[in-house]
Amino acid sequence: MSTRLPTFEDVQIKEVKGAILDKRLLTGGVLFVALALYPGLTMNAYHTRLLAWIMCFAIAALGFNVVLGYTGLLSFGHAAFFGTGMYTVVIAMQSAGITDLIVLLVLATLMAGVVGAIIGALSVKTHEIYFALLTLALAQLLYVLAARDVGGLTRGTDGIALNRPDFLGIPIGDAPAHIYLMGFYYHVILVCLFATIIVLWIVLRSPFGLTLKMIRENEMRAEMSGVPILRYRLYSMILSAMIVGLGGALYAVVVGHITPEYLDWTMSGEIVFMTLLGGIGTFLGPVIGAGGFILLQEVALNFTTYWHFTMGLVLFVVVLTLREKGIWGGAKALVDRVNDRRDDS
Amino acid sequence: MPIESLTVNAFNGLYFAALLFFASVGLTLVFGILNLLNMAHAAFYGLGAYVAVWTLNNMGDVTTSTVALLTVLVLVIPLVVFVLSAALDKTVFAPLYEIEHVYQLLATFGVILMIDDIIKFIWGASPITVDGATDPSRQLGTLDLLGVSVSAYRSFVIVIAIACAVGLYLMFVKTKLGKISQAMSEDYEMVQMLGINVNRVRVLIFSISVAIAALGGALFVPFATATPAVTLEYVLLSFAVIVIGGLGSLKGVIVAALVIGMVRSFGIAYFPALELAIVFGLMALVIIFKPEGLFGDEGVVE
Repeated sequence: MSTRLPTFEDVQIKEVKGAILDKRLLTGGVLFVALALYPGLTMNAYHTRLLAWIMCFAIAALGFNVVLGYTGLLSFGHAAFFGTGMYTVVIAMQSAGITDLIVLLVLATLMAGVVGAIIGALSVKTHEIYFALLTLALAQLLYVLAARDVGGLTRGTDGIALNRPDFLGIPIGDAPAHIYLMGFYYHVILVCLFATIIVLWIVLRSPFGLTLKMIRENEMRAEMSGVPILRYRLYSMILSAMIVGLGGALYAVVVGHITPEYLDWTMSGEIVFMTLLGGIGTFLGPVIGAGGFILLQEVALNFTTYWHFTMGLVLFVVVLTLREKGIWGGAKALVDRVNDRRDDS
Repeated sequence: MPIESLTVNAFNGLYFAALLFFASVGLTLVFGILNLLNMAHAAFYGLGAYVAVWTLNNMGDVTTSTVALLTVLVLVIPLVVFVLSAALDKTVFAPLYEIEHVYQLLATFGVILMIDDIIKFIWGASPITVDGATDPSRQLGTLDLLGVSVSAYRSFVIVIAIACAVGLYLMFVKTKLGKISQAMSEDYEMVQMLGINVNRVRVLIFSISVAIAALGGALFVPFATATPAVTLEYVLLSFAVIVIGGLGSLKGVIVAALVIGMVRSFGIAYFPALELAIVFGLMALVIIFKPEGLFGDEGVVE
């Protein structure tokens, strides 16, 4: 049996009514414009940086949830894809002399996809905790190779500093750091996040996405209906790896210095944490989870240096109480309950 | 390859294997008997290490006798952690037995983060070491083994590990507690229906497992520094050990600890850059080709 994460309560295809879709599109559009205008209106570099940071991890968490929430496989090795995205950007800039942002992002996404295909091909046959432990082992292998600088590409634990990439031949990378981030790079991340949301929304509601859910819900039935399970699991790993890699590539420019820590298993743990916090059984949960995780960390850091304790406690409580719903699913359920009560009275 | 360096590396391999055995045997027992995948298990190894450094350094004013120091390391610290973990089993870990493995993994990852910060809160984030005066490894000096001088303290650790393995084996084969635990690993509900207080057995097995991890950590520090990174390193290594040995097998842990101990010792000597890569590569190969591990399809002590 596959991992039976009891996610989505209703798996039947719902006819999304035109009105609801319009409302969602409208909300999304307003949110996009508001976020796009935020740095220009407030001129707050700290907030812009925080939002950029959150959005990079929102992309990664969305990508991770393709495997955990939709295919029902817990991977503990997604740092491999995140780190591959980061290292691809920095190595392509330093060694190959590529400075165009678009080329770098495409390259990083493809490289993460290749690593995802390799790790996926090795691990999709295994189940449950064995899948988690195998992805952990393979990702850790990559981490050790990068940390010990085997192959001479990564400069070991010192890491590599990164310049700011240009855009379409315009040498925008020469601009000062805060102008680069607030006037240009922040918006690139924003566009990437919304593009990811739209692409995933379409893909996961296509026959492909429904097949993934079918495998998660009942592997044997899927197999009997003629679904090549292993191949679909591999596809979901590759898709997931590419999106996580994109998140990593975008984040690389935000931090500006890449060390092997981003390949370490605690990084995988953080991505799992964010996704779970937001709710693996919901589509937008991972975005909320990434925001919640990073804001919580910032708030906790303001009060105490022992923010790990706070995060550990939150993770523990979320796993035991909200499970697959997360804070986003929990909030939705709460709203539904309040509405029901209002309808009753 | 000169015979002396072979002996030294084999001896160090045994020492690593002993530490790995301490760190991971409880993990596999708790999984095999109680069906709990406790990622935070190795955090108690780290905790044991810190408690040991702190205790040894504070003992300097009272006594520096080797026997007293070793008694504290081998008996007192594991006993204290035994009581502590019995309390934790009743509170923090109690709800975890009911949920799926995947969620256990995630919740106990949260526990690692918490223990990590508790350690930093009490002892600070910078590494701490045992003072020279109260360091039993210095007091004991060296022994002569096949013409090579080796640390007497390391030999002591190896002996304790062997004693611990034999003790566990005898416990499972000879005592009532051991028999019940073996039955529980086969069919938990049936044991419960026979009128046996499974919760009491659970607390005992869990506390023994955690105490052994703390014992390992305590024995580890005279030769190394206690840092927060110890926990994270041993979480991964102990998972590698139990996966290679087969989840839930005592024999598997012993064999896998020996394999990884030797790989690390000879790896550090001959391929220093690849030493950890070999460990994780081995772990991946075992899951791919023999997911049940070397002895995982057998019972706890077969």
